[in-house]
Amino acid sequence: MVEPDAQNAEAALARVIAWLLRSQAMLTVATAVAFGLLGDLAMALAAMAGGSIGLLLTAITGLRLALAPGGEAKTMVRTFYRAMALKFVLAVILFIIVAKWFAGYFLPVVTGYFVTLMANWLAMRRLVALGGREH
Amino acid sequence: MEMELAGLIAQIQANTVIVIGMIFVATSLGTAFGFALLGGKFLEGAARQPELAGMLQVRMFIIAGLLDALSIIGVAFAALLMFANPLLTPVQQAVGG
Repeated sequence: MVEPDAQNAEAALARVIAWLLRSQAMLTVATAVAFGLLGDLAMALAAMAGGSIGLLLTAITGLRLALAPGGEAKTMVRTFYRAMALKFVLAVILFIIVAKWFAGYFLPVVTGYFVTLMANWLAMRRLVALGGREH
Repeated sequence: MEMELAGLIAQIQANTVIVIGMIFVATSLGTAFGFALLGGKFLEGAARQPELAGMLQVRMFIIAGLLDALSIIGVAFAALLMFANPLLTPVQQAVGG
């Protein structure tokens, strides 16, 4: 039997992850459109690739955390560190692939990735604005 | 002439390897300290108020996304320098020209 507090926490985590992914997807598309308008199609695709890396890393880390059994703080921290290690390894692999594909368009790639990070700032701001109502 | 160019390319590559190493060391140290503090504070908070552990986990997840960004951007630049080094382009152009 799962405790109501644990259920609430899991639901809150799932909501935050879903919100983060939505925001990151929107920011990625916006960045790609901006690069497409200011530059060319290759730049837009590079920005899209950078943003997709951020999106994918958040999705995998979020899933890894959300699917792990909650409960003890010790277990949470252990799962969290494992998820972060997985994220880092994935980031290395994905950036190596992208560095080979978009060698000449690395600024849009990094910008695309960087823009997805803004979603985290926005998520923090949103949590503060909600005042802890939605964790 | 060819030996000079080969020497120049080797010098650029050697310096690039040193820079990549420095990037990895600096970013991984920063992130390691950050994660250690983050995990420590989380355990501290959860031990003090266990009912808030879920809320703290959500906030830890968001902060972690920002914390490891530095090391991931470092990895991105290291990957660029390793596989498509833009510093070699002028030398390659000079050889081609």
